[in-house]
Amino acid sequence: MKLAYAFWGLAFLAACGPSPTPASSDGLRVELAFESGEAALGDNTLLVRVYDQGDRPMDAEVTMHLHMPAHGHDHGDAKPPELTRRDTGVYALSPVRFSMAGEWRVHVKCNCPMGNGEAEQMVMVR
Amino acid sequence: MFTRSLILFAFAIVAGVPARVEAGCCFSTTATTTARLATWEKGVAGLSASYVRELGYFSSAARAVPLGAGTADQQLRFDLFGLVRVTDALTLSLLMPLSMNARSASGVFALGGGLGDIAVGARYDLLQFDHSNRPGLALIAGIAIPTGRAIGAAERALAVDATGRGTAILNLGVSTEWASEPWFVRGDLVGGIPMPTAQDGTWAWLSPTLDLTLMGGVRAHRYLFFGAIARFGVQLPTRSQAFGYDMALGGGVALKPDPQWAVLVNVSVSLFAPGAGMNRNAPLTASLALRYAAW
Repeated sequence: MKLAYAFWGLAFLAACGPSPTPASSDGLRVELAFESGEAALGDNTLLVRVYDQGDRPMDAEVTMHLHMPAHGHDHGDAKPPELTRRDTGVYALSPVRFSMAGEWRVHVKCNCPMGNGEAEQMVMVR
Repeated sequence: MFTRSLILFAFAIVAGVPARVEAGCCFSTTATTTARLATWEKGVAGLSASYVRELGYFSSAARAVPLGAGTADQQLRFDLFGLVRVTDALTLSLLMPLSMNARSASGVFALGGGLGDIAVGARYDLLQFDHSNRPGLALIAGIAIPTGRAIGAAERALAVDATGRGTAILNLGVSTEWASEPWFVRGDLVGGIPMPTAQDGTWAWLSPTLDLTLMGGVRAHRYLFFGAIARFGVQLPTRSQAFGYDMALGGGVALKPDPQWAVLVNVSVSLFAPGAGMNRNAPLTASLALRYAAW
């Protein structure tokens, strides 16, 4: 499944830690983690886990947006990552490509008939 | 941006013949604004080769974050530069950059580059910097044309084929200089205003910038000059880009063995310390510039 892309022109106020920050939730909880443990310059695999209100894994449609607030651009790569379903409610996005060192905002949206959810994570790419 | 400042700084400290007039000649803070000709010069052509190495970046919390182990970001850049006098007060300029980027990370090495953003500029001298003791004062304006490839349109790994900003940037500023032989100083204040761009149906607006550049130098010998440069830059927050700032220092040595030819070597470095920057890169730059003047 190909991902849909859009630019996120959000104001950037402060750095966040490496743990995901739920942006909003309406029935779904979304967790993000990089497969290698941390984001690195170049290609990465981002794991997305989706749960319902009972913390049960839930399949959903997943979309992702990358933005670099310091430089005002997106992921800088014409090739979108592939979305692979690994298990119920578990998806891998690859390659998530960070084209330069710095702070990036990763924003993931998940939608399914049970509801929707979002997660946002600031990552420091070195 | 600072790389281009240094390139033009090279031209600044070597132009002209009478010492106090030539000392501060041809400075500029950005590539999109014009450097200065000596009063007797009709035109100048220049070529600069620069090596840029990123030391790291400043985070949104003003932390100086070095590049990770196994990560490198380098650039070899060539700038062709020209100035032509239209009237006694008006000078036009053109700068054409070519760059080659080399980046490595996580075992991947990528090489790419091409034409950057071509810049045209104009300088209008309200007060000519001449043989009198009064300071010079000029208005400077320019535009960077997005002839380079923006990072959002980069296709190669690590965006090594990105060579431009992706939008036109209008620059406006003032420049002043003063000399007391053998010393000279110059200050430039330039604002950059990016034009909004449409991306996937939404408008993106890069940050307006404001750069203050202070330069100074001394003529140590008829053929030898030393100079120093300091820059403080700010980017204002927009819907697309965060607030940021950085500082840099540099120095150079110029040799002018011929009235028309000059060579300059300079080095600059970002002040890579906590609190010295925010949301900006931290480059180290070394440049070799060649200038030829006609009159």
